[in-house]
Amino acid sequence: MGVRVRALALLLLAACAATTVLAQSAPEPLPTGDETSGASLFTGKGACQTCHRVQGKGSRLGPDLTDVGSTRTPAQLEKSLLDPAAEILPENRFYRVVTRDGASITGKLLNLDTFQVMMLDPKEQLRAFQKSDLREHGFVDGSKMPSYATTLSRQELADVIAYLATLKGVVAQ
Amino acid sequence: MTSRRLIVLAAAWVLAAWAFGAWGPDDTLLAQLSSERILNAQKEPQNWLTYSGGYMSQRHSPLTQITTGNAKDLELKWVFQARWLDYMQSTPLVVDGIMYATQGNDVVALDATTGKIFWIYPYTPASDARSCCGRITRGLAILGDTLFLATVDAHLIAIDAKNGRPLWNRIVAQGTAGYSLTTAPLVIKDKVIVGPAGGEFGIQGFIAAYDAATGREAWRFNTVPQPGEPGHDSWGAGWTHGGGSIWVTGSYDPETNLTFWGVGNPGPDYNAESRPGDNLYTCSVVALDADTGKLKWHYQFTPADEFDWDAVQIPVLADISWKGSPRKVMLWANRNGFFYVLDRRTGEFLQATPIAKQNWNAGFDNGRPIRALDAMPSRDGVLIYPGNQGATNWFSPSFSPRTGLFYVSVWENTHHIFARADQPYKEGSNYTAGRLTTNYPGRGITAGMRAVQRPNLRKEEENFGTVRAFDPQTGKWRWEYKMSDLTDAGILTTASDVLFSGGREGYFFALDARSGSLLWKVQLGGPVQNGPMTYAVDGRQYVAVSASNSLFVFGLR
Repeated sequence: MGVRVRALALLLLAACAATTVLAQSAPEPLPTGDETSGASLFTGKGACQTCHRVQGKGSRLGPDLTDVGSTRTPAQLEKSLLDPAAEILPENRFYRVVTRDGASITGKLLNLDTFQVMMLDPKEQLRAFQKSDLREHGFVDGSKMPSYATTLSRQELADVIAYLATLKGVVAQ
Repeated sequence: MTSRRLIVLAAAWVLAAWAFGAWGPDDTLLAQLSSERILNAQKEPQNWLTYSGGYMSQRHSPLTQITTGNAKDLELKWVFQARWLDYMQSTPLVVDGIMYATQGNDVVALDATTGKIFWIYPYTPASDARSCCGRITRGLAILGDTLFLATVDAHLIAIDAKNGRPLWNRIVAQGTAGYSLTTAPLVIKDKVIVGPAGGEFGIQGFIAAYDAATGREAWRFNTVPQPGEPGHDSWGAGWTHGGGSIWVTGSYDPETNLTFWGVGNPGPDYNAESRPGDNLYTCSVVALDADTGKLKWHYQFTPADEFDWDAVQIPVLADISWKGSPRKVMLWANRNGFFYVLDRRTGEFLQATPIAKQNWNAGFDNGRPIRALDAMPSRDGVLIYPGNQGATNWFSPSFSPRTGLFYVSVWENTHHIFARADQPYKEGSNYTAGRLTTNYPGRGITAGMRAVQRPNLRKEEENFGTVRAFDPQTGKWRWEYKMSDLTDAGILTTASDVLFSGGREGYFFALDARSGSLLWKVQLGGPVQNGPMTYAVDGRQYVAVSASNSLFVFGLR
């Protein structure tokens, strides 16, 4: 294959890829969301509290969303709901340890150094492990969160995002 | 929703729940600390659940691994260096291997065996908040999975003990007007109790209880009675800026359901001309119903105070034999230079004896102090022992039920010349109306951290710090451990008769609680200003103390 043909092929490939990316990054805009409906979806159908916590309710293992409306834009929230694995902040990483007696514990990583691992375990207890006491240990890659691309309708997605956008943290009263 | 979507969502939910091992509802998880556990703190000596280690505030631990025989084998286990340059006056809590400490107004959760951080809750108080004596906090309270932090800009904040996230944030008072919260809160049942500092800013003091779950105010007791409240007539017109601050933690007697709190000085500090009367309930201990805040009794240590002698000390509760009969008493070493024994059920005055040189008191008339005629305040100035920082101060004493002794850090031979002056009240400004002079050579007495940087050249008669062991039966001390410099350190005793304390010289030391003999010491490089505490994890006993802005933890080799 000549150089020109190769170049043409590469150009075509690049164009296809760009078109695909463009198509993926510019989905149909979401309809206007209803925050009340979103709150119901959050605690009901979406089962978001299985992993997330808002104002002291829900699991502590996923990111606490009490102030997520102040820290994330609606576009970022939509991205997280549709493609949770696209971006996982370091503070939301999971870690697995296996103790010498074979117990495997996967928890939310809180701190790490050369000798020690600190985590919130599945029973939501603060746990510290000496690495020298562990059979194995390491990061758990990927996100535990399912994509809601197919499980929620576009309107429902918009509603959840509208609700999340109202969460501005604890206000002094 | 299509059935396919439902199946996918259900599968995802199950997968996530399995992955986390948590199925959502909070009631499947164990709450960390019930009010019953706090009530029975003595049953779990491995933990330290309240500021003073228990509701009786004896700062006495049943732990016995560290003894008078092996205390010489103590060694440093870890240090927590706060990102905070001011001194650390707080006592950490330990619950099941987790230590909750403070750095400034931040809260930190640490592995109690290594000092490694689980999480930090950062809090920066408003820059325009006023406080007399450093932007500090003395510690935390805990109930269930919630920590309670009182901030120097007068907020009470509930924080999730598992992840350091705030749950509610209550504005208790106006920080810009001189109200600040520096005390470790006290949890009783489902309420969190605090009161504001600000005795040098003409505040109107109070003690208030807040619902632990919501932060809503449940009751309030005004330490400076408002019009129509009992005690208001002890003020004249001066009540409006009467002080009555709260800045160390109270105690609780579950048998009577009374909570006891020491109240600070009246304002302005050094001139009573604008506040004729006894100025209730300043310089007093008040006994309040823990459910309602209603006053059951009070005892005023220093009526119409003009020497800044806050009765802000820890109310130590003890069950002792008194004149041959069992008696439930309160032991109180006061800033005014006296050691009091009160009946804690009724407030009855039983005894008061000097803990250091004093010249203001000529005796007691049915419990009321008789002022010495040659030590009356004036505009020209009068020499008073002890000085304005008192013969002791906020730092925690200890009572050992084993030795029957009450241990307190004392300032001996301190004095000031107090002179009344004029000063109009201005919101948020210092309001003391006096001039203080002293003939102390060398270092000043108030600024502990700064003072320690200067050489100590004083003679003993020019004041010194000491740990004294008082026998409540006689009111006299049996032994003392003298230091060259003063001390702001609290005292811890254990059931193996070891006493821990320290001082401005930077030494942290262990004494034999029965004899006062030195067992062990270490130089920490800065003044010890908090009360030591002890705990155990996996069968190993630790002792924690702070010096300057760092927390040091020791254990046996």
